[in-house]
Amino acid sequence: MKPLSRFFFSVGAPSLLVLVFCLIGPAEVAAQPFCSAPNLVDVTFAAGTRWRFCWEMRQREGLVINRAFYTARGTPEREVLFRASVAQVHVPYHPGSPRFRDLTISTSGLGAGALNLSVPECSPGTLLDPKVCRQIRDRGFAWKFSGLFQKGQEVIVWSSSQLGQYNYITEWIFMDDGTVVPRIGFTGRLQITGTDDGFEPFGQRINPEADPTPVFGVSHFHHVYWRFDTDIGGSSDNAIDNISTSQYFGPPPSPVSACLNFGECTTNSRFRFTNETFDGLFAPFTFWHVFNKGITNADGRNIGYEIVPEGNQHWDGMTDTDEPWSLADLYITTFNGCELLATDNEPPFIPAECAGAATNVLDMTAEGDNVDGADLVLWYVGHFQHVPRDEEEPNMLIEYQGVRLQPRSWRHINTLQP
Amino acid sequence: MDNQRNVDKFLRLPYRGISLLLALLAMGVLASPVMAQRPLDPLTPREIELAKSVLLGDRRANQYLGGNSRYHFVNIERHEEDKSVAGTAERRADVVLYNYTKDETVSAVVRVGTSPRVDAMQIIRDRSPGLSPEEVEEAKQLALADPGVQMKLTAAGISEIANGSLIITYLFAQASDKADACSTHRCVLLYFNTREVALLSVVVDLSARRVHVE
Repeated sequence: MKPLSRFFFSVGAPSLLVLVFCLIGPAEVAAQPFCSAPNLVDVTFAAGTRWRFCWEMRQREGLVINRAFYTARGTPEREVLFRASVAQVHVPYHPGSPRFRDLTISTSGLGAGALNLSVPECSPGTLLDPKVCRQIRDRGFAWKFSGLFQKGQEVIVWSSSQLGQYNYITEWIFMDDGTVVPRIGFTGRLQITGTDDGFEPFGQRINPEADPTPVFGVSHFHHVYWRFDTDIGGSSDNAIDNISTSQYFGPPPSPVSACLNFGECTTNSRFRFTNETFDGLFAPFTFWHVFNKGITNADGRNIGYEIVPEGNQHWDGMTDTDEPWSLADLYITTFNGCELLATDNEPPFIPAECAGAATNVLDMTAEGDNVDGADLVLWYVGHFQHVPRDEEEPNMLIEYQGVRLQPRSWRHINTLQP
Repeated sequence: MDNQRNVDKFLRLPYRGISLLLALLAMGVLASPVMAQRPLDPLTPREIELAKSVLLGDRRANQYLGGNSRYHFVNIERHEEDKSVAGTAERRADVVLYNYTKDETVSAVVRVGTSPRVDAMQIIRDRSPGLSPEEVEEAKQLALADPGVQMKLTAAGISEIANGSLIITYLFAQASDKADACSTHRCVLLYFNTREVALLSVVVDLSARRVHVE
């Protein structure tokens, strides 16, 4: 064989093959990431499961999550969230005013107020950006049975936004078992105090009782609106059920009880939402189940996620007048790229091309589009009441409001099981 | 014959090495996540500057701003494309500019890829965007230079501003009362704190460049 042809067969052809491989890849290679480092977070845990997502700091919404994919043991990588963000923080004070809307008319936004973080604040962890910290940490038990156990891990990205005297810690926690916990920590300093005796029903005294002039820390709510563009296994063919819990009375009896006494038996019922609408925590132990109607696990059940309220209770704002959008705890809409904020959804708070979009989350449900097999966006409202304590001087001890998104039938068994 | 085989074997080794090296190089270059900009990457400094120049060079924007408007770029960030075209559309920027001369806002969508141009532009008169870091800093400097603020800080024992003893936070201060200048002007509410206590609050009117101690 001539040297040139030998060179080709020995060097060129294999290299060419590798080049072609890299360009087209085998079918099993995961999709290329949608973002680059440092905005890409790609973590494979000790359990062998994996989260891959992008983050971005946006002026209004602050730390936003894009394209979050989860790989459980024994399952292919599948999308969970196309986009997840804080869509408003509504802070009405108990005396009636002020009534802040922190992402829009009252401040410059969570992103504009995001602080540069120091290395000690993010320790142990990595500053992906001066304003964003990523930490991978142990989360205690994933499960335990008798002497068997598995310890769990989670990856968290978080930022700190100084809005007036308040400091909001925006957290996105992704656990190795597939659970996602978005939450906001409230800290900083009390924003509003009052010295008029008339504040007494609306706050708590924070200066010494012996002082002639009272100083009241004024009570208020933080209603956090999260926007979850849940693309469970993809953007199409998603649906959502309400799962309610109620007393059950026989007949017929349960397999083990007559169910004739109050408090003896309990059932869960499912209600399928068919059109854009809203729902609330009007009954105890309500939660929701969003799933893909076309993809099932090995047991034949649709893959999905539960939305589980944590430490949340229903509360109405000025629903009859200025705040009609404050009447619900979950809004269900179909995807619309211009529907980004729960209130004041109009330029300059959203892009100029979006002029004319529905201006609040309640109005976004007005068209009543089909949501039973569609591309869904869920708006969850977490309500946190702040009644000031002495312990909040001079700096407020942090308290959190969040929600739990956890897999339901994502796999036919435990997501961590080898 | 044996010698030829040995020679062949000897020659194959470097060929294999070169082959492996080329293959590794190809994989490394193609696998690099930084090589090509990805659709969800934030705007680069170049794209941000391009967005500004494209907007300022736009005929409508030019006509609106005129020759002597006092304006400020409040925010420029990546425009999020509709899901149906995400990842394939030309990159665009959401641009927000505040016109101090008229106390109005320009909100625009600008292409920053291969065909730069303004895709959408709105003039907004009844809603103001939040403050940029530069505007907040300007408000702080105006406040610190105000004799009324200085008197209050001195009375509180703050003699040296630069030593880090002062922590200043802020809120956007657009008033709803039409009689208040801050209902139409661009105003900032500043809170002055020490490490131990909140001291005072100050309203800075950036449009009129006035300071009011509360």
